[in-house]
Amino acid sequence: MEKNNKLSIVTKGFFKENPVFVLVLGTCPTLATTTGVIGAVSMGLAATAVLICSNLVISLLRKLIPDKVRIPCYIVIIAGFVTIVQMLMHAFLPDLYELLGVYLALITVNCIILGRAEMFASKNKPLDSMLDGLGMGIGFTIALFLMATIREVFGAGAFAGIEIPFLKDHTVSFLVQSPGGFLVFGLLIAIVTLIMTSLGKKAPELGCAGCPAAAVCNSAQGKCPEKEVKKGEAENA
Amino acid sequence: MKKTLPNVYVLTLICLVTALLLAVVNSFTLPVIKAAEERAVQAALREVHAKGGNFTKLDLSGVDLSGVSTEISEVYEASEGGYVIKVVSAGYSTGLQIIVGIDKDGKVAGAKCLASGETLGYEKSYGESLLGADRDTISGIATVSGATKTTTGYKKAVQDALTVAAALSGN
Repeated sequence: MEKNNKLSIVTKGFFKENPVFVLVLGTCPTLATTTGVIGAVSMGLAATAVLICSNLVISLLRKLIPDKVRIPCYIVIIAGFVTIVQMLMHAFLPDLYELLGVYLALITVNCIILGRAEMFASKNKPLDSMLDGLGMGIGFTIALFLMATIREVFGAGAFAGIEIPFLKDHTVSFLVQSPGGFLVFGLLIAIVTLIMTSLGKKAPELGCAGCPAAAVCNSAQGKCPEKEVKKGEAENA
Repeated sequence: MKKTLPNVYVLTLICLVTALLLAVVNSFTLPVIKAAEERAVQAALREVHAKGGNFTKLDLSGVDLSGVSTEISEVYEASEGGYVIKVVSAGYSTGLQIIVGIDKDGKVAGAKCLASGETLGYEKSYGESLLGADRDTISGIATVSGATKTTTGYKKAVQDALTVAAALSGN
């Protein structure tokens, strides 16, 4: 039973609670780094490493970190791990470091990492938090890989930089541009939602609790004066 | 105040531990990064002076640079003879950065534009027309009509590089 529970913590990030297609977190790096498979998978693995490490440390320190300064503490921990990954990549994988450019440093403000710290690691045991980080990281990598495959194969006529006969002469270059990224992203979300609906599974109602900005959002704190928000909250309750 | 202090302590402690960790990682990644950067610089220098061998950066503080009107930013001495000189000139816009390779005979072995604010793009290929030129023959090479300011600035950079190379080699 315990083993199944641990497994479900890992696997939920793959599909049921996929951070990109279901939770719609980390959209910026998803759109920016999916023009090529190599860049996308590298970004996914770098984010996974940061997710596992930051989830572990935040979980270990969850009883020590005061509630009022938890967000700055999380940011310092996450930024620390991102900088470590950045330095290691710069030293040992310089080509990938150049390829990912500014998006590597921007992992610090990736909503998935802060979101999982706030939503899971701050409330769960270290091992479970690490497994959650691993699952979410793999889910993020799968999502990036899928998007990058579609965009690179049909947009650039190549896969991981290797040209594909016929397709290389019939590219839809729009797909590797920003609007093409949004289009593929929207279509994949629609397909995932369709599959979940056909399987009789409903997307998780995460509400404001899953939002990394919940701590500073009046609506999430129940302080928003707008009637619509209160009405919505009452319905959700 | 008593309630605020633990917040400050915890955040400060986390910052200190993070800084310590970063310092440890930096201590073993920095030499690797520096070595890779040095290899990249050597490769870039070889692009303009293929037969130069290895390059050593020179200190210009004791060199007489009178007669040089552009900015000489870096000078490298080639182990097989000659120099590679980075010059910052001005064309239509400022910041025209040219790297010039000069062989042991004092002739241009290669010239490449590293960065510029020019719009016509002549600075990208103009170096080819200056190959083999020396201090006496460079003034006879025509500038490109329609991009006179850019090519004049480019030529001036190469002329100054030849002057610096001559001063360094004692000619």
